Amino acid sequence: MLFACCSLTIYGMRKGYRASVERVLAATAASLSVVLAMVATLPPATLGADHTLCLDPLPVNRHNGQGIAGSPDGVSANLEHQTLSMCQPPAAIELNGTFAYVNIEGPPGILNDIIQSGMGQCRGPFACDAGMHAFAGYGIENSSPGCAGFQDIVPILDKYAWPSGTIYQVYHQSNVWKFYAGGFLLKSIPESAVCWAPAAATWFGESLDVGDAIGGSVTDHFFITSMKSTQTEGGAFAYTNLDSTRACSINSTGNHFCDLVGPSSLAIWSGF
Amino acid sequence: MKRLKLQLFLGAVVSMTAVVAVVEAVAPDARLALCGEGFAGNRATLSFEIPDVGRVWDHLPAMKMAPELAAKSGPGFVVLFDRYEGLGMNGPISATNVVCVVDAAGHTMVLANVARDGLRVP
Repeated sequence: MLFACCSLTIYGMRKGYRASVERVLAATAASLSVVLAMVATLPPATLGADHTLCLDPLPVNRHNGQGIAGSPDGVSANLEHQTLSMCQPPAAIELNGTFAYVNIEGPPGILNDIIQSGMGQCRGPFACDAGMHAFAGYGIENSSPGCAGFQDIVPILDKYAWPSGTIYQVYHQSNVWKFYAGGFLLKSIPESAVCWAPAAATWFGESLDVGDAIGGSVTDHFFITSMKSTQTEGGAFAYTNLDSTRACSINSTGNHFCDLVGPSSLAIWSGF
Repeated sequence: MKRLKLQLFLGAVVSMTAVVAVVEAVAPDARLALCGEGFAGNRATLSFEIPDVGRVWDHLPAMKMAPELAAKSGPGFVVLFDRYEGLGMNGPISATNVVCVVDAAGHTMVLANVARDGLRVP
């Protein structure tokens, strides 16, 4: 359209000059088409009614959800297939995002002793491209009981395609730890890779910027349902039987909410 | 007329080549970004290709056990950071002497407090 317009403006110019101008315009149009093609490959911004401004260049992680103590060999839940809401617009160098995970965690207070499978999106370096993905990962603290001789491993975001199915699991089975998303096996790691002793099964939403939602919005809550765990390797999963006095044990302060909607189901959302 | 068309075509090709060349010149290795290069001042001190991620200990012999990594095979990319701000799935991470290993499928493992004694770069 631009080229067609401008071609009209050079009608009547002397032949040589006109050819030169046309060459420049052709080159410009070609360059523009390349740039536009590149822009078209960028992931679309996730705008929604429930987003708010991004405020922190560094991650400020918060969690809402549920934990139950034990020695789990498996954790499971249905994570609603809902595009989670990130804050907008990002700063030039911004790390923000929002997730939902099922987890097995190690001794209390040791952040990296965790095995996770879940979904979400984030913006920044790492595996963050502002699109929804499944994520799987685990970590190790060398100082944890049983982990002498192991290297510290940071449970960094490792992304996979976001499946339409909703069953997410971490499952200790047949001498390996398996990570499932949407019913698909994302990865499995040797049993020996996890040196710490599982101490809790948890289900939570997480955000990285105070402008990010945790879970859904006021009008569209995010549901974690069919929450189950097993206490034996390869064992059958049993539904949680939460009551209101034990609901939402993982609860960030601020404008974020969690509610027990059944003995094995939570709703989590943010107030914007 | 044919000459004009040829000139137009060549002009477009030259222009596209220039744009692509500029993009290639400024685009960092995507594997560096996967490891967190550029975030919060993260700057890789060294990066190199390795033929077999399961044998990363050939290059970092003092690194401690990591059974998942040892069980992997195929080529990979190793990035070393002296000081590191990372994004753990369970929260922000500050660490030193970090080694990030990216396998051929683009999956990453980040190991912290890695001893570099005997470091061998291919």
